This record gives sequence, structure tokens and C-alpha cells, in this order.
Amino acid sequence: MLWVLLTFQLSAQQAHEDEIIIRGKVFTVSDEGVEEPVPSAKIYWKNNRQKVTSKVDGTFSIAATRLPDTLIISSVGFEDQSYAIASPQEESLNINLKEGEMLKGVEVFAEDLGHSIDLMNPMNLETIGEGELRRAACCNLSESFETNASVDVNITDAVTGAKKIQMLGLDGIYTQLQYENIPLVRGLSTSYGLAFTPGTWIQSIQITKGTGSVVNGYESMAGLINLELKKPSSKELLYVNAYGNRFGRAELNIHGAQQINDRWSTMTFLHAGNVFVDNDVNNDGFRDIPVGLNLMGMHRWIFEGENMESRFGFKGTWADKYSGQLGTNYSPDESGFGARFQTQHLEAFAKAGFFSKNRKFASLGLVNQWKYHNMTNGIGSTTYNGTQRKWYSNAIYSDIIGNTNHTYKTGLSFIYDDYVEAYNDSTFLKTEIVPGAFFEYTYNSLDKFILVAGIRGDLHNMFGPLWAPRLHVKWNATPKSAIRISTGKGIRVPNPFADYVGNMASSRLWVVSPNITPEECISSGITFTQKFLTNENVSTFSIDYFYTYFLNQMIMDMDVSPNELHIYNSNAESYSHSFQAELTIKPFKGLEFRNAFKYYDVRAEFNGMLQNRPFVPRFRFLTSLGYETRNKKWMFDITGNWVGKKRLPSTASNPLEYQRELESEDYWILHSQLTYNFKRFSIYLGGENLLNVMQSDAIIAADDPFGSFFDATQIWAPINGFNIYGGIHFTIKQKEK
Amino acid sequence: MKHILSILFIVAAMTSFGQTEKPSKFKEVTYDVSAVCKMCKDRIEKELNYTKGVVFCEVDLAAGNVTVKYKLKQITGEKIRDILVNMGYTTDGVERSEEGYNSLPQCCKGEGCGKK
Repeated sequence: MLWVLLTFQLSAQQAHEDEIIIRGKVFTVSDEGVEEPVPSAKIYWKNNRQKVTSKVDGTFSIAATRLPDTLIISSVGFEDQSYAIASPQEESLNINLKEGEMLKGVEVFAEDLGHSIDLMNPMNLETIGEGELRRAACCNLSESFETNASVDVNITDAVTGAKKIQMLGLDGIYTQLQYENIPLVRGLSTSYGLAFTPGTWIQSIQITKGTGSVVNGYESMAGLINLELKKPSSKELLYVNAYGNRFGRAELNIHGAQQINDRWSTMTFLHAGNVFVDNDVNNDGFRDIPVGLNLMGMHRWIFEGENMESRFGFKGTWADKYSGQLGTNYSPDESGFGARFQTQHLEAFAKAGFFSKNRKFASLGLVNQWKYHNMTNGIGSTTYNGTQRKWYSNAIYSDIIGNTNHTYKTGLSFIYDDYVEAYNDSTFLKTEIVPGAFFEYTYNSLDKFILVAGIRGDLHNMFGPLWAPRLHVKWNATPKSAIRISTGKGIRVPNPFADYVGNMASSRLWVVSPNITPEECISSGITFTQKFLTNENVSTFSIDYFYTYFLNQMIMDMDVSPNELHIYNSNAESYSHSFQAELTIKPFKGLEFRNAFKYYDVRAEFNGMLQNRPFVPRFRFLTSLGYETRNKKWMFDITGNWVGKKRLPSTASNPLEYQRELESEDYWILHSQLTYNFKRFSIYLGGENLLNVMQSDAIIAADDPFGSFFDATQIWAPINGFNIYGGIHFTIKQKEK
Repeated sequence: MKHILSILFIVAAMTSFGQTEKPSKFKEVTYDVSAVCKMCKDRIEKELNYTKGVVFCEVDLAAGNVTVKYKLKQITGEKIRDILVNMGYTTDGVERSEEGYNSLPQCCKGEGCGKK
């Protein structure tokens, strides 16, 4: 057996102020004791895509973007050598190793896995990448979660067509939504906001269950969803997407990126969507989907300097949609039940990051957002209008304490939120002014054990001090597994009308308590993730359990009477137990098979009685099969969702023909899509709800919409049957430099 | 059930018989290639997968090689190697074309994928 010594000399040197360069030399010592350089050895980071090859004389230099990290050196004929580098102070070192007895091909390159659960992040971060987003091509953010098990999407009612997400079995209002750490759906946009982010703008979605980091505010209760939008670095000089479906919905998306010089780049997004045709598949006389136009645009600039980075731009939305009974157009003199929803939204945002020349781990981040949101809703004889003006500001300073094992983030935030709302004849004015401060400490032991402890305090002008402590712990017991524990407090100031706009599509009399106070909960969870190799492909098994307990909750109660809807704060028992197990297997290259099972036990006191939260299934099952041919030309996808029985509010006091069951039926929703990629463009054809599941008699008293029993909010299944769609993606890539 | 099984066996026997009898129309070759990053992978796969005669092309960055399956009648292994060489990658010991190399993005020249 030949013994070979492989020696490294590593020295760390600082090239730029914000970048660390590790230099070294790879060489072997032969039997004769002669040093021989090893060329073409591969040197790469464990947690980074950066990769270099040693030169003819064995030398190499590699940039480190984040320490600590593990440097791996591999060369044919030698055993892989890994070396943990905790801080840039490392001067040099010598390691002896022997010739490899078995050569392991370690899969280290982070490819776009489509869907992945990270093992490094202290929070349980689930990422939906671009590959996964393409699997379900339609159309906006609310439709981007179709192949994801952690987020459920529900239609709120049969008139507005608004969609809301659900996490941990809790309404979407308890999930904090943001794009690149800027608030996205908040305040008045809560109900329709999801539709105002076109799917093609999104690069990736990160989902965290339970409470998130205190840096992002006190609002994440059931979860935190962050979107990364496409950046000029995606090299899309021009991108065009056109989509059309069976219901006469047509969408057009155009993006373009311009690289102005080394430092400046811009990106422009345009979206137009329209539903041209009235649809009434279930024959109840009501449009199943609102018709009308939706326009959105965004323009942003990115500056990347040596010690400073900045992103700023503006975003606008204009929507005007009609719904309600067929033939109506919400004119004052018509007799039918009409509905019209108009939205104007304008926002400007500016982010900046500064890096210190002297302290290489110190940085300062600034986030600013100014927002104007105006909406006019008319649903039958109900009107609800609102205007929100907002200023959001967040300053984050981060640095190390001694070495990179101890880091902290601290900062100040400020929210100014001015609301003017009018519900029928009543007007509500509200101005929230919330200055806040936060501190978050992170202990990182070679990425194997990470503890994040944070606390924030906010001084609300209406509700006094609000405190939110949070703790996240991650431990990699083995290199391929992770255990995460999180617990923390989440707080949210509710807006009773805006949070439940969809529920206005009924004759229920709204009884809203005049004293609405902030909602507070403690959410704790444990997650276990295990990765394993199946034929050299990474498969994942994960299991999690979350328990959320409300200390104070604004209850939307439809159980008092079928003619009334009560909104009030309650300290009574309210909780959510959520259990999820998910297995993603890649039996061979190109094939991905995912199965997820979920169990929810979500209860609160409704009508003075502890009972299951309505419209939340106890069980849900997701099965999804994705296949891509080895030449990446064909992509096929099929996803099945089984939704279990849900409790429905009692309608027992209604006349017999307007009564409904107390429990919904379980059903399967089947989606499928086929994509063919040409060199420059791709076409896709897909179907949704292929089993044509439809809730029968979805609207209660559809024949008497102005009567006292009308209710279009008791929706637990699709109301418009199957859908067939097709579209095209066309990309011109920028010439790479 | 028995019938179905026997039919399956016959079909399986026929297909395997057919394969051994005829010389394969396809060939699968693995080339050592100087690809360094995700961008190289995308470039090479995009180029070869849309080259006539190529059934599929896969780049394995960790192993530093490219696996190509192609139709013998339409393209030769040498031609595929030449495509890689002309793109600017040293392939199976054949030195890369300088012209191709110079047109590669910075990242693929092994100079680091820019700062992130």
C-alpha cells in the first residue's frame, strides 16, 4: 500500500475589506520524500457554490463569503480532506493524509433543487425555487403553493374570489408576508394582497413555520413567508410570459433587466391580467370568478459598490373587477346583486447596506417603505372603502462579539400607519405609530449548533408596550440531519374589516366589538429533517409539530347565528396543534416523488363553546410526482391533494332549503402540467382540478341575494370545476460577462 | 393473472432479445471536462442538449465530467468533444480553444463567480 502525504498550507489574507481570501498550496510527499505539487485538485466550500482548482504548482486561492465554513479539498487518488475554518485569523497549517482507499463522490454543488429544506439555517427554512414555481405555472403568489405541503390556499367566498393562505391551520392573517424583508401584505391589503404579486416576478419563496426573527417585527405568529424577486443578475434581458385558460383569463408578463455598468443595474416588471368572460359553471346565477382588469408594475434599481449596496424602486397596482350576479355591473339602478372591487396601490422602497472598512463583519442595513393603498369594495348593498398610508423603517446593525461564533443584530424600527375606513355608514379612523427596538444574539458552533435568542420591544401609541421574545435552536446531530426547536411570542394588531373582507359576501349582520385589542400568541415547534441519498440523489424526510396558544385573539365568529357575524377579542382557550410529515424521494435522476401528511387540531371558543375552527380540515394529504427528462426538454408534473372533512358553521335555524351540513365532504384535487423547453422559449399546458370537484349549492340562498339568508362565504371546495390552461415563456438572456 | 404474467415475460424476452441482436444505435460517453461552476453546467447542457444527435447531456460538477448519450448515425464522439473544446473547455486532455475560453463568463474561467 502506497502512502502518500498530502500537505496543505493555508493562509488567510484579506483582499477587499468585505471579502476574505484563503490561499494555499496542495502538494504530496512521495515515497522518496520529495514534495510534489498536486494540480487540478478541487477546492470548495461546504456551504457555498464557490469552487476553484489548484494550479500547476499546486497553489490556489478561494474567496470566503461567510465564516465559519468548511473547506473541502478533493483530488482523484486522495481521500477528501475537509478543514473547518472558523475565522480569518488562521495563519497556516499542515495536514497529513493517506492515499484514498475509497473515492467518495460527495455531492456538494447546490443545484436548483426546486424544493428544498435547508440544514444550515437556524430557522426551519423551506425554499420553493424557480424550478418548483414553474411546476405550477399559474399565475400569482396565491397559486404558488400548489405543490407545497406547509401552506394551504383557500378561496374565501364565492363573490370576491379572494384567496387566503393558511399555515398551521391558522388563517393567513397570522402569517407575516414580506418581499426581500419589506412588508408585502399587511393592513388593508390583507385579503387581496396575494393576487398582487405575479408568479413570474418571484425568484424563490422562503417559508418559516412558527415565529420568525425579531428583526422582521413582532407579527409572525403562524409563520413567515419571504419572497425573493428576480434580480438583474438573473440575466434576463427580456422575458415574456403569456397565459390563457378555459375561464377566459389571460395574463401577460414582461420583465427586462439592464446592466448599466459594474455597479448599477435596473429591472422592470410589467403585468397585465384580465378575465374577459363571465363564468357560471355551477349555474347559481353568480359569476364564479370576478371579471376585469389587473395591472401591476415595478421598477427597481440596484447599486453594488465596494462598501455599500442599495436597492430602491417603486411598485404600483391598479385593479378594477366586477363580480356578483351575471349581467350586473354594479350600477346604482340595477336590481341584481352586483359587486365591484377597485384597488390602487403605490409604494416606494429603498434598502441600503453598508459595510465597514475597519470591522469586516460589521454591517448596517436600512429598509424604508412608503405605501399608499386605496380600495373601494361594493358587495351587494354592503360597501367597504379604505385608505392606508404607511411609512415603515427598519435599521439593522450586525457585528461579531470577539469571534464569528458570537454575532448579534440590533436595531430600531418605526411604523406609521394611517387608516381611514368606511363600512356602510360608519367611518373609522386609526393611526398607529409604533417605534421599536430589537436585539438578537446568535451563537454558532461550526454551523453544527446554532442558537438564536432575540427580543424586541415596541411602543404602540394605542396599546402601550408590546414585548416579543423568541428563541431558535438548531443542532446537526449527524451531517445529514437537523433538529430544530423554536418558541416565541407573536403579536398582531388586527383590522376587523380588512382582515375579513371576503366575509362581507353574505347577509350576516356584522357585530364588531368597539374595543379591538392586539392578538398575542406563543408558538412553539420542533422539526426533524433527515437527508439521505437514493442513487446519488438527495432525498429528504422531515417531520414537525407546532403548538400555538393564543393569549388573546380576535375571534371571527359565525356560530352565534347564521344571520350574524361577530368579531370580538377573547382570552378564552384557543390553540392549534399542527403535525406534518413529509417524504421527498428522488428514486433516479429527474424523478421526484413527494408525499406529505398533515394533521391539524385547531380549536377556539365559538359561540361560547370550545370547538374546531371552521373550514380547517383535520387531515390533509399531498402526493406529487415530478419528472424531467435527462435532456431537460420535457417536464411533467402531477399533484394530488386530499382535503379531509371540515367543520362548517351551523345553519340549523335557517329554513330547510337554506340549511347545510355541519361537516363538509372530503375530496381530491388533481393538478397536472406538461412543459416542453425549446432553446429560447418553453410552452406549457396544464389542468387544474382535473377530477372536476365542485361544491354543490355553494351559495346559500343564491336565489334571494338580498334576503336575510344569503351567504356566499360557506365555501369549502372549488366552485368552478376543472380548468385547462396553456402558456409560453420566452427569454432572451443577457450576454454574460 | 397468469396470462398477463406470461405475456409480460414474452414481451420482456422479446425486447431483451431485440437489444442483444441489433447493434445499439446509441452510445453513452463520459468526458473529463474543465467545467467549474453552475453557469458552466447550464451553458454546456443547453448547448449539447440542443445539438442534433444528442439524446441527453449531463454535467457532473463534483466529478468534473460530462456524460453524453448520442445517436451514432447523426454525430460522433469526436464532434461532441470538439464542441466542448470550442466552447472553451479542456476536454479529455484536448486543450481548450483560446477563442472559446475568452468568450466564457468570468465565473467559468475559474476566477470565482463574482462576489455575492
